[in-house]
Parts: sequence; structure tokens; C-alpha cells
Amino acid sequence: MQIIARGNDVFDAIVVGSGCTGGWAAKKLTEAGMKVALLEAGSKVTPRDFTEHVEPYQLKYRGHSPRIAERRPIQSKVYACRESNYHWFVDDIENPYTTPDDKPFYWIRMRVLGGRSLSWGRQSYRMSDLDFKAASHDGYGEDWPICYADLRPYYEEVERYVGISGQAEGLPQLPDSVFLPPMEMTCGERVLRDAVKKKMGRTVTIGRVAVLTRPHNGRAACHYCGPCEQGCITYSYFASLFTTIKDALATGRLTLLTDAVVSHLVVDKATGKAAGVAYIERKTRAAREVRAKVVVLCASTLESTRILLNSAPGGLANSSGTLGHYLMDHIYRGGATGELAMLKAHPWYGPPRRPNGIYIPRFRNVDRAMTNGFIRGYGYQGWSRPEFAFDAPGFGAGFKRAVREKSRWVIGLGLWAECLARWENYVEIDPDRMDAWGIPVLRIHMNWSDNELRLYEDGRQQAAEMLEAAGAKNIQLYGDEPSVPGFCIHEVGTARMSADPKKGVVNGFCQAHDVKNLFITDGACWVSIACQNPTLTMMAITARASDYIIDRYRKREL
Amino acid sequence: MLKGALLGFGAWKKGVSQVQVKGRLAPGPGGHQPPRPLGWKPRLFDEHQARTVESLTDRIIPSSETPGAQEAGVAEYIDLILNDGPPGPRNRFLEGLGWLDGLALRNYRAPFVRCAANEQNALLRQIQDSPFFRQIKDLTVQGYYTSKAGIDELNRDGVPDTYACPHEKH
Ligand SMILES: Cc1cc2nc3c(=O)[nH]c(=O)nc-3n(C[C@H](O)[C@H](O)[C@H](O)COP(=O)(O)OP(=O)(O)OC[C@H]3O[C@@H](n4cnc5c(N)ncnc54)[C@H](O)[C@@H]3O)c2cc1C
Ligand code: SF4
Repeated sequence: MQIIARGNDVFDAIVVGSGCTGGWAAKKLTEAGMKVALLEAGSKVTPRDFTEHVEPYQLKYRGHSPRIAERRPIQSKVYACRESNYHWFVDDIENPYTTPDDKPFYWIRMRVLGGRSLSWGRQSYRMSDLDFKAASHDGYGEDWPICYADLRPYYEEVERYVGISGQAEGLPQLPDSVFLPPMEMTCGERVLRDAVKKKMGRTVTIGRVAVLTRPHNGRAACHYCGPCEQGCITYSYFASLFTTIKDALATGRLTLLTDAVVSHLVVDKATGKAAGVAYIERKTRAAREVRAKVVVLCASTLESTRILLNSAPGGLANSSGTLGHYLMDHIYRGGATGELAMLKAHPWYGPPRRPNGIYIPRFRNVDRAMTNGFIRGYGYQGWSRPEFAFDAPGFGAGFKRAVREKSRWVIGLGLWAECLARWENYVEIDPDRMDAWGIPVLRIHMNWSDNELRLYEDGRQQAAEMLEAAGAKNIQLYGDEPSVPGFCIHEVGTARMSADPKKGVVNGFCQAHDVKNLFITDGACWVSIACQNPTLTMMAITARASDYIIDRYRKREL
Repeated sequence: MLKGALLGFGAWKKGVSQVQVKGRLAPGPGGHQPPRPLGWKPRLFDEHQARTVESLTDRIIPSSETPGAQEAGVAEYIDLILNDGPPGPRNRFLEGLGWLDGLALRNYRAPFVRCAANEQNALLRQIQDSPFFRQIKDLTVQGYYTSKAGIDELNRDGVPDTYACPHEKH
């Protein structure tokens, strides 16, 4: 039997996870006067750990370390897991999960103060009622119990704080944010934008990104050094540790417990309410407990669901039987590339590097339910820039010259498509495996349905057509095989919202139907995934849930 | 041609090993002076292999207005990457070096490092479609263009003030 050390304090609230969502819960609750314990499985990070200005030749393997994959065979597949920051990503050997052999799933996790906000891609897009009410639009699945109007003030609150640079376009399917000035397009991108608008009536816009284009809320404007995944000493992109968590700490009401791996919730047998959480100290492996009147899970989609599944036989807050089900991710890694021969290329290496690309909002099934046998849609992220010809043939002086002289202006578009919520895509506890802290791990079952594959194929073809419209040469489709599920790192679902307690785990305020002082505000509560990058919406949902918690807590209704 | 050369691999291993030893100990081109010191300490390669990789990388990216791969220390980088990396690529690379020396010995009676510049170029042209050439070229490009010298070579024309690059300039 484990000896559990129990702290004497009873907090007003516990927040599990310090990433994009946990940071918001901690900030909002502490600023409203609540005493909060924030439990984070990873370690502290300071600006001294940031390496965005390190040149390749200052690194032992110059950015090509063959060692990362030894302990991180999954994490090392991600572009952002690099020689100078790989230790922010989980050690796959210590943190296993299982899948059926024919259903691989790449689960990308960061265990560090700030979570994945430290290395995320920063692309930030609102969703609309085309997404929240998708089932009403085309008959598939469930509507969300909330609508765009519910979330709109929270989008605004989050955006005003975070700082999203972008260009207003007035599109109903992709509502404009409160924007900082947009970043500039390259000439290749302008060629594409103008041609696609004129010939196909589609909008190409600059990426909407959580990077400051002017000083904002005490943080400096971006200086375009480029590798944001490695940190930012000027705090110019949004990461929770130097924004929301900093604010929460400044209230004096936040107790930050790092290296605290939550294993399960502690439930009060008499009331059925959450009494606190049990955790393992990562370094000492001591088992401990913290108590609070409210528990908010922000450990990221699948970690939050894992905690719930490990908290009671059959899962806590699972009277609906839906806990673990309806897992989603975007299907991606396909599109088209080409060359813009009309532009003379003068590439260079290093800054200025714009930490952003271009975006093409969804155009499929906006005004109708179905196209070519598929429902829903996709958006694109793209880029156009001059590139060196490192692939020039031969060797010697001729090759060295060709690298520069045969450089060309390249253009590419990659699609991000919606994935339907399906019961068959689910997670459960694997009874035979534990992680390094003795916590049972997930077994993940997920594959793509025909609808995703059709969207994917259509998206690749349309990418080629748009490049063609822009006059590109040497157009090539890429991504014959789509991404392995999970690899888009947009995993959502598995503890979904529902108005009807029989159909989901939480209500529209992320409050568990069965346990009224338990909230799940990260991506686990999602009903459908839309095609936009999800994190801005996750933060808005968390901010809204936090206001609800504050209100009900004051009224002693939790 | 490549296929024939590959078939000759075993023959070289058995028959020519004395030549290899002799070649390794023999003074460099130009005769009597002792070979210049390597200047770095290989982890994986022996000295002969290290010198072979130095000259190979320098044939692939020679010095011009800017330093070439040898001066940029690319061989040392390749030694490190292969030594610390998985065994598959490492073994393929070491075998490839031996195979190349076999070709050089057959064609010019000297291992690759002892061949004259034009002979080395002819050898590389001969193996251009081989997996070994791909591997050494990829590693050389990776090592050179991540070195200070390589980055300076890329940015010889200067770096713009803005990534946006207005149309008027083209
Ligand atoms: C390379 C990369 C690029 C991305 N690009 C984008 C993008 O462009 N746009 C976008 O919208 N999204 C992007 N994402 C996804 C985005 O990072 C996530 O959606 C977002 O971080 C989710 O926030 P979260 O708070 O739910 O989880 P996270 O940010 O992952 O934070 C969860 C935290 O909980 C902690 N935790 C987990 N389990 C436990 C436990 N048992 N006990 C205690 N603590 C625990 C973790 O250590 C972590 O710190 C990207 C992600 C990556 C990795
Ligand atoms: S590109 Fe901008 S946001 Fe990214 S690390 Fe550099 S300064 Fe920070």
C-alpha cells in the first residue's frame, strides 16, 4: 500500500496542467480571488533555457542529433522536437501508451511548465456556427451545446490579452479576431492571393498567429529570428509561462507545484464530489494528495481523460458511457508544391524569418452540405519563398555555385481537414502497461474514415489547381499517405460536451454532468473538431468555464 | 559500371590488402615530407579513413571565394554523426569507403587520398549514381551548410531587411 502524504491546505481550486488552457484557468481563478494549486507534471523553465538564437554550428550535432530518437522515437518525429529543446518533450520510454498494431497513433506531449504552448505553431483561428452547429448543417453527429455568440466575448478577451496578428477578411466561416497588424506576405504569396481571388473567388490571407507585431501588454514585438519552437527571450509569441501563469503568480494566490504527476482524482464517497487529486512527485516518486473544493482538468485532451479513467472503475463522471469516445485529430500532411519561375530568387539563410505562413480558409461545404460525396471541409496553411538548390546534381565547384545560382522561388499549400466524431475512435486504460510512475497508460484506437480520406484527396487536388492558377511550374502533389492520427497534435474529444447528460461527459460550461465541482476545459470537451487549429478556441472555452466557476463558487453552488 | 565495381569489392578485400597498408604508410603526394597532422581527433574513423573523408568532402564542396568542406571541418562532423548514430548508416558508410579505395586502387594503383585531383574527380563521376555517393554527398551538404563558413557562403550576397521582398526588386 502506498503511503500518501496529504497537505493540510484545502485550496479553493486545483488546476491540473500549465499549458495553454491551464494557464487561463489559473489566471482567471486567482485574479477573481480564489486560492489555486496548479499541478504540473513537468519542470520549471526559465528564459535561460531558450535557444532560439543559437546557430546550428553552436550545437553538437548542428540540429541533426541522431540521439533524440533513442528515448523519444515518437516525439522526435515532430519538427519542433530539436537538439536544443527535446527534453521539453516526454520521454517515450517513461511515458508509454499502446495501440492496436494496425492503428498507429502518434501522441505528441510536452511535460514542462507551459506545456505545448512553449513550442506550438501559434496559428490561431476562430470557429463559427458552421462548426458549432455542424450537425444541423449536414446531419452528421451532434451540435455543440454552445454557439458562436456564447464564445464570442471570450474569444475577444483571450485575443486582447494574447495578441493575434492577422488580416480581417469578413468571412462568416472564419470570423475575424481582434487583430494586431498583419505580417506581410512575400511576393510569391501575393501572386497566389491575387490569382486565386481573380480566377477562383477564394481568399488567401496571411496566417493569423499568436505573435506580436507591435509591443503588447508589456511584451516586445517579434524580431523575426524564426525558431519560436525553442523559446523566445522577448516573450513575443504566446506561451502560458510568461503570460497567464506569470499573472496568476503575481496575485500571490497561486501555489505552483511542478514535477507533480497527477494519477487520479480523489472522490468524497459521501457526496460523490471531487475532494482533490492524488499525484506522484516526479523526482522522489513519493505519493501525495492535495485537496480543493473545485478541480479543473487542463492536462491536455488525452491526459485529462486518462486521469478520469484512472479515477474510478469504468471512469469517473462516466454515467453516459461516452468517456474516452469520439477522439478526433486533423488529417494533414498532404498538398501540392510548385515553382514560381516568374520571380527571381535571392534566398538567404537565417533571419529575417517570418514565424508564420499564409492561410486559405475553408471553401468546401460552406453554403451546401455535401460536395463530391464528402461533408465538412479543410483549410490550408501555405508558404512561398526563395530557396537554395541544395538538391543540385553533381559535385565540385559547379555544385557549390548551383546551390546559389539555381535557387528558385517555391510555393506550397498543405491542407488541414476536419475529422468526424466517431464512437469507434476511442481510448481506454491498458490493463497491462504502466508508466514510469506506476500509472496505468492509455490504449488508443483511431483511424481515418472515408470522409477524411475524401477530404484529403480533394484538398490535394485543389491545392494543385490553385498553384496552377498562380502560374506555378513543376507542380507536384505531396503526401500520398496522410498523417498518422494524432500527428497533427490537434487531438480533441473523449469527454465531450452535451446538453443531455446521456450523450456526453460535461455541460456547455465544461462541468461534469455527474460531478458538479469537476471541470474539464481542455480539448477533451470538444464535440466536433472543425478544420481550424484548435487552441484559440480551447483557451476561449476555458476562459468561459472559468467565469462560470467563479460565479458558482461565489454563490456556493459547487 | 557500378555493378561491375561492386562485384569487384570482394576481390579487392582479399587481394589488395597489402597495397592498402602500404598506401596508408606511404608519404603523401609531393614525396618525402611527413603527412600534415589531421588537426582533429576522429572517434570512428582511423587516420586513413579520416583523410579520405576530408578529401572526399572537399571534392564535393571545394574552396572557391569561400572555404570548402575540408576547411569547414565537415569530415569531423561526419565522423561524429556516424559514430553517435545508428549502426546501419555507419556500417554502410565504412563499407563504402573501402569500396571506393578498391576502385581507386584498381584504376590508379593508389587509394583515393593518394590519387591526383583529376583522378579523384573521375572516380567520383564514376560512382555518382551509387548509394555511397548519395550518403557522402548528403552528409557533406548537411555538414557544410550548417557550418559558419557554409552559412557565410550562402549569405554572400547579403541578407535582406525584410522577408517580404517587395515586387519592385525582382
Ligand atoms: C509542434 C506543435 C505545433 C502546434 N501548432 C499549433 C498551432 O499552430 N495552432 C494551434 O491551435 N495548436 C497547435 N498545437 C497544439 C497546441 O499546442 C495544443 O492544442 C495546446 O497546447 C493544448 O493546450 P492544453 O492546455 O490542453 O495542453 P498542453 O499545452 O499540452 O498542456 C498540458 C500540460 O499538462 C501537463 N500534464 C499532463 N498530464 C499531467 C498529469 N497527469 N499531471 C500533471 N500535469 C500533467 C503537461 O505536462 C502540460 O504541461 C501545436 C502543438 C505542437 C506540439
Ligand atoms: S520569431 Fe519572433 S516570436 Fe519567434 S522566437 Fe523570434 S522574436 Fe520570438
